[in-house]
Amino acid sequence: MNGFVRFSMWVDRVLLAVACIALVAMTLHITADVIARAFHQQVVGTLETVSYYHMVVAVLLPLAFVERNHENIRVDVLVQLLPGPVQLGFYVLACVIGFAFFGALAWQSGLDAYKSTVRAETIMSNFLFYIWPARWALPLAFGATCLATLANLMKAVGERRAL
Amino acid sequence: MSNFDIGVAGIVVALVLVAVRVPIGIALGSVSIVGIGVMTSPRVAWGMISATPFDFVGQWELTAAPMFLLMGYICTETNLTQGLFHAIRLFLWRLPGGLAVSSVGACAFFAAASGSSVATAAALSRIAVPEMLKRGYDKGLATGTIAASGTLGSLIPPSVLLVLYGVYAQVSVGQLFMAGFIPGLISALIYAMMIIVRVKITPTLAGEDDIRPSWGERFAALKDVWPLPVLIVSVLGGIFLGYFSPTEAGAIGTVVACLIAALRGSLTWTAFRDALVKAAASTTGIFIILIGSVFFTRFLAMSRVPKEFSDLILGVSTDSWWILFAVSVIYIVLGMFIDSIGLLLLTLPLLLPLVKGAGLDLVWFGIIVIKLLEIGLVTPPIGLNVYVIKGALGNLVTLPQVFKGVGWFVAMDILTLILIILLPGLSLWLPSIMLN
Amino acid sequence: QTEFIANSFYNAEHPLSKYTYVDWGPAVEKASGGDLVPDIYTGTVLLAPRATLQGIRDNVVQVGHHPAVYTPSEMPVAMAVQELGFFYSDALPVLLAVTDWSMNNPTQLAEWKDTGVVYLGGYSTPPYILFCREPVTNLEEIKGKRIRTAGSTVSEWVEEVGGIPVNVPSSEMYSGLDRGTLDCASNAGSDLIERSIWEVAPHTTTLSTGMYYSGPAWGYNPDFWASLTPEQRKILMTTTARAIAQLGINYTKRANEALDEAAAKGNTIHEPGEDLVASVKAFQEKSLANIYTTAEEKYGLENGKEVIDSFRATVDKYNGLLEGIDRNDEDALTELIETEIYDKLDPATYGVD
Ligand code: NA
Ligand code: NA
Repeated sequence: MNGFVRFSMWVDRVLLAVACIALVAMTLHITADVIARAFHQQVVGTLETVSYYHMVVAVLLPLAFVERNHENIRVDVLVQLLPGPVQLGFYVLACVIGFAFFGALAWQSGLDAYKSTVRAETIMSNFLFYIWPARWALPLAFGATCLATLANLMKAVGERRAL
Repeated sequence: MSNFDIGVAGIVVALVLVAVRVPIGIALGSVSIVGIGVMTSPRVAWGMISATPFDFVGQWELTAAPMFLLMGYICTETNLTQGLFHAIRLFLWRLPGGLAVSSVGACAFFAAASGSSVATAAALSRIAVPEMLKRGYDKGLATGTIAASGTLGSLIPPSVLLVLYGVYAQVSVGQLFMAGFIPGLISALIYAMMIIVRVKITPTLAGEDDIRPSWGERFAALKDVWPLPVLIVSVLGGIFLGYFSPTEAGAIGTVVACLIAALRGSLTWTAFRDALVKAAASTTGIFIILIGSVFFTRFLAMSRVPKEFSDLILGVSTDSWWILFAVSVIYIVLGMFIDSIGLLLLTLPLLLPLVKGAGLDLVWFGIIVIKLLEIGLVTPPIGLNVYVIKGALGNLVTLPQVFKGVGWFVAMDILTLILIILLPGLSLWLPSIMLN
Repeated sequence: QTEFIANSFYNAEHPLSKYTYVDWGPAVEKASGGDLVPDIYTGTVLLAPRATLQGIRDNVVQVGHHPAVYTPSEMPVAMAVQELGFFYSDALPVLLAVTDWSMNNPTQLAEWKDTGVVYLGGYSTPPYILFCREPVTNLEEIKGKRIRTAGSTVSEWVEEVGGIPVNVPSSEMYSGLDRGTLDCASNAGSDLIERSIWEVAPHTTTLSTGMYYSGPAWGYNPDFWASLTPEQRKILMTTTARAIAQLGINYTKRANEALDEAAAKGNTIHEPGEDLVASVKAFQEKSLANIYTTAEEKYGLENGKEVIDSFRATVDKYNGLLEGIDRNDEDALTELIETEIYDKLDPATYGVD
C-alpha cells in the first residue's frame, strides 16, 4: 500500500517536471519567434508546436500533482461546519466522482490517442504537421490523476479523516 | 424528463456537489457528461469526451494564460515587487491611511504586469499586509485593501479573463486590453479616496503611522523602484509598437522579468523552480475548471436552458438598461458562489445572444463583465481573493474579518460599475484612439 | 417528428452558417410540414471547429459542416482535390462541381464511408484576396511581407516571391494587422467588413490566391441518415439544393459588396500588377505539372491522376452549364442543381449500406 502511494507520488513529480520543461520551452519558442521576426525571419511552426505540444503538455501533465495536493479549486466553507465523519463521507464521495471522471477521460482519450497514432494524425497549416504524439499526454495525465485520487482516498480512509 | 428538466437538474446537482467540496471542475465536468448521456445516449457522451479537452487546450490564444501566470510568479519569487511598494510608501506617508493607499498603488502597478487577480492579491498579501498589521492597521482594512485591489489584476491589462472573454466572444483582445485600462485606474482611485476619507473620519483604523522619512531616505528608496516599471513598459510598449501580439507578450514578459531578476542578482535556482512549479500548478488548476465549464456549456446548450433563460429575461423587456441590470444581478448573485473563470465561461453562452440582440458594444460589455466578476472574487461565501489572503496570512486574521473589511470596497466597486455603465467612453475611448 | 442537431462552427452571420444552416433549418421544417426539426447550432458552443468530424461520427451532432483541411490525414482524397484551389477563381462552378463530384466519384465516396460521414452537399469560398497595411501590388512590394496564408500551396507561392507565409488564428488576424506583426492577410472579400479588417488593412489587392471547398458543408451521421425514411431524405436533398444556390449567389455577392463598402470607407482597392499576376500564372503551371505526383505522393492516392482529372472535368462541365443561365437567378440555379445532381441520387439507397 505504502509502495503504491510512493510510486504514484513519483509519477506526479515526473509529470510536473515535464510540464515545467514545457513551460520553459513555450517561453523560449515564442521569444525566439518574436526575435526572428524583428529580423524578417521566422521560426517555422511556432504556432503549431506551441499550441499542440507545449501547451497540451504544460496544462495537463501537472493534473495529478494538483489533485494530490488538493490545489484543485474547491469550496470548503460549508463542509468545515460539519462533524468529522460527515466530512470524511463527502471526501470519499468527491474522490469516487473524481476517480470516475478522470477514469472516463483517461479511457476515452487513450482510445483516441491510439486511433490518432494508427492514422498518423496531422493538422494542415502552411505545411503538414503531425499531432498524434501530443494526444498521448491526455491518457498519461488523466491516468496518473486517477492514481493520485486513489492514493488520497486510501490515505483518508486509513487516517479516518478528510484530506 | 425533458432535456430542459435534465438541464435544470444538472445545475442543481452541480451546485450541491460544489457545496460538498467536490472540486469545481470535476463537479461541472462529471455532471455534464452524465447529463449529456441521459439526454442523448452514452455514445454521444463518450463522443463529447473525445471532442473536448484536446481541441480546447491546444489553442494558441490560450497560451497567454500560463505565460502571464509564469511572468507574475517570476516577479514575486524573485522579489521584483518590493522596491516599488517601499518607495510609494515613503512618498505617501503623509496621506491618511498612506500605507493602505500605497498598497492600492502597488497593486495597480503589479496588475499591469500580472494577468490574474489571484496572483496580484497573492503577491501583495505577503508584502503589504504584514507591514500594515505591524503599524497597527485595522485587520479588516489591511486585508480588505489587498483582496479588493488584487482584483485590479483582471481589469488592468494584461488579463487572463479578458483573453478568455475575447476568445469566446470573438472580440479583439488588443482592444479589450486598451478598454480595461481607464476603468482599472478609476477603480484604484476610488479605492484610495475611500480609504483616505474613512481614515480621516476614524484615524484609529490606520493605527499609528509613525514613519517620517527624510528626503534622503526617499531618494535612496527610488534606486530599487525600476524593475516593475521596466517590465511593464517593455511588455505594453512591445505590444503597442507591434513587436509582438498580446498573446506573445506573456512569454516576452517572462524573459524580461528573468533578465531583470538576474541583473539584481535575485534569480536563484530555487526562485526560478518555485515560480515554474507554481505557474504550472495554477495553470492546471484554472484549466481543469475551464475544461469542466466547456463540458457544462455544451450540456446546458443541448438542454436549451440558456435559450429559455434569455427568453425569460427578454420577455420582461428588451431595453438595454434592463438587460444590463439583469446581467449585473445575475453576476453578483452567482459570483458569490462561483469562481470568476468558471462563471465567465458558464454565463457567456447564455448572455452573449442577449447582449448581441440588444446591440450593445461587445468590448464595453466585456469590461462590465470583468468588473462584475471582480466583485465575485471578494464576496462571501466563495471569494477566491479572500481565501488567498487568508492562506498567505494563516492565523493572523479570520475569514469573517477579511470579508467584513472587503464590504467597503464592494460598495466602491458598485459605484465604479455604475460609472462604467453610464459612461461607455471610459472603456471605449482608448480603443478608439488606438484605431486612428 | 424527427428532431436533430445541425452544427456549423462559423458565427451565425457568416455566409457558411447563414445560408447553409441558419436559413436552411426553417426551410427544412417548412418543407417537411414540421416532420423534420433541425436544431441549429452555430459557433463553437457544441464542438471545436477541428472536432466537428469526430462529433458527426459519434452522433454528438447529426449533421455538421467540416472542412477537410482541418483533418487532412482523415481525408486525403478531398485534400488532393483541394490542391487545385489555387487554380480556380470562380466560386459558383466549383461549388456545383464539388457537390456533384463528391457524391458520385467512387474514390471520394469510399473516403466518406471510411471517415464515417454521409456527404450531402458542398461549399466553396470566393477567391481569397490580399488585405494589406501598405499597398502590395507588385513583386517588389511583396518582398519581405509577412502574409497570413491558409494552405500549403499558397504559402509555397508566397515563399517563392519572397514573402513570409505565417500561420495565425483568424481571431488574431485583426490585432496582427493592427499592430504590424502581420503585413497582409489572405481571406474572402466578405471578411474585410465582417471581421472589421478594413479598419486595420486599408489596401486590398484583388489577386486571387485560391479558394477553399473540400469537405462536406453537410456531413450526416451515417446511422442517423439510415434511420430516416426515403421521403425525409428527399426533403433534405431538395432543401439542400436551394441552400447551395443561395450560398453560390450570396457569398460572392457579399464578397464583392464588401470591397465597395471598404472603398466607400476610404480603403484603396488595387488591381494586382502584371508581374504579380504573371508570377501566379507561372506558379500555377508549375504546380499543375506536378499535381498528379502531389496527389499520389503527398496524399498517397493510387489513382491520383484519375481523381484529379475527373474533378477538373466536372468543373469544366459546370462552367459550360452555367453559360446558359442567369447566375443570380435563385430558382434557375436551384433547378439546375436539382436536375444535374440531386434528382440523380436515389433517396432510398444513397448513403445507406
Ligand atoms: Na493585469
Ligand atoms: Na464570491
